[in-house]
Amino acid sequence: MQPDSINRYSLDRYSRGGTSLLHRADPRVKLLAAVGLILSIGFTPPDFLPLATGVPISMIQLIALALVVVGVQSAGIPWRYFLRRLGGFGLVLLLLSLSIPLAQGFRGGWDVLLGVLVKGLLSFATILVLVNTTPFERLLWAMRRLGMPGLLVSTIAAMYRYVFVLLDELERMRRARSARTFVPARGLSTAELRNGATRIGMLMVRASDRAERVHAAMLARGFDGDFPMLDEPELN
Amino acid sequence: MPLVDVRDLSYRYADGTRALRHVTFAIDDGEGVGLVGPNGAGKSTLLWHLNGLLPECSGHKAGQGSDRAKAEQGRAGQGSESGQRHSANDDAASDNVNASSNGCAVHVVGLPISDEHLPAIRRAVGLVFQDPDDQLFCPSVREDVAFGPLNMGLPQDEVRRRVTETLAAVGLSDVAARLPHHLSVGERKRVCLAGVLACQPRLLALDEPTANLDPRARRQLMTVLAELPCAKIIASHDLEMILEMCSRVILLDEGQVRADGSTTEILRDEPLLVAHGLELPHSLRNRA
Repeated sequence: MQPDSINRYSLDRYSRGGTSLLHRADPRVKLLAAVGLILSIGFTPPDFLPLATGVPISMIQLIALALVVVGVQSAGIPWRYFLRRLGGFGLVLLLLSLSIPLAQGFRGGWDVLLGVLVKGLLSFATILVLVNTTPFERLLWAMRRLGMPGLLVSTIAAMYRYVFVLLDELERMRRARSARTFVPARGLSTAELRNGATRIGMLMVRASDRAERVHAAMLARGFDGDFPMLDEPELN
Repeated sequence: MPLVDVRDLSYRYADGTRALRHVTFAIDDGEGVGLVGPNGAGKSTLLWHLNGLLPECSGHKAGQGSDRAKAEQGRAGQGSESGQRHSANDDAASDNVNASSNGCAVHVVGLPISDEHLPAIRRAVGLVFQDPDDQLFCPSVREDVAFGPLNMGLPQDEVRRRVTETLAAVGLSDVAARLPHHLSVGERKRVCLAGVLACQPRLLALDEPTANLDPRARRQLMTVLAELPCAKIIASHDLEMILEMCSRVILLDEGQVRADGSTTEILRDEPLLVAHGLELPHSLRNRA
């Protein structure tokens, strides 16, 4: 039950057990490097050091692309897996960024859309390399060490911990429904949409109930609003 | 002085449901007590009271104001406990809770349940939740087991020692670096237990410890529990397990204590069990 959703949705399957240079590097260095790379990808206008007029990618972004390719290859992350995860993100990003040409009646804005896609995909690819070479708890440790507020780090930790629990609940609800669906729905009907909406609502209710129990469990072990951390040995 | 002393405890949820009525019992050091009863009998609610998770303000206050007001107060008290200094409103409510603590229905290690005593009470009573996913909220097993001791303000060396010791005690030394969602249900239950044992409680309160476990995982958990010297109160429908683990049983139904006594006597009393939605444990049926 659990491993299923973990395998299907996980974004960091290759973070553990790797021996590459990237896997062994200090998580703080990796985190800072990734943030730096994303900032330079995001803030470089496409006409900065252009490859050729009209091509919406700058020299900086091309360098970033090269770094990502080298990272994936050297860390031994399978390309198939990597491109799939990237594609999933790309699809969402495409749908969102379609609003740019849409706002201009599809008469312009295509170059902006392309720019958004390039920046978004490159940034997400950078993150994928980071999380596939660093176990999540090491990343959290790095955030803490680099001075991120404890509450923020704990929130990210809780999100990582519970996303699979929630996905499992969603999956169980979906399965329970299909077990009692005798005529498969064709396409998107109103009933189908309404069902989806109900399911999302139910998930919210369940998540909120669980949040209350988790909070009680935290109080039961002496939680007082402060997140203490276990020191971890320094890395060389 | 008993470890836990509950006298005439009544509790009503904010929506008016009466969860506990005039519950009275005491638990001594080292005792093993089974808490049985049908679903909705109030078993979990009772366990939450022992740890100060539920406000304790309606016992001994019968007759003061309307029931509705009491329920409101209960809810406000709960809020002030969990959120602490949030608003003046909450503070006023928690004053009410404190004011009533002279006539407090629940005493743990001699202390009435009130905000000032909560740290000591939670140190004395370790609560293990039914769903391990509710309790394992840290990113790794090691951090989760360390959560309680760190909150107690213990030095890092001591915390690390306790993590190693308790994980060894539940037979899971090899999973310290793993992530909770990569463990089996049985392993997760034992990690929950380790997280509570690391606080070295005098009373262990377990909510359905064997639910959802296969026979092997159930047996592993029971073996671990049997070796613990601390007092235990175990809420469960698993009467065979209660029979093995506890010398005393409290039967709860509709928020009231219906029986309190030796396990073998109560779990042999078929009419009593059936009247409260339970049945005679199979292992006792043949011997009768």
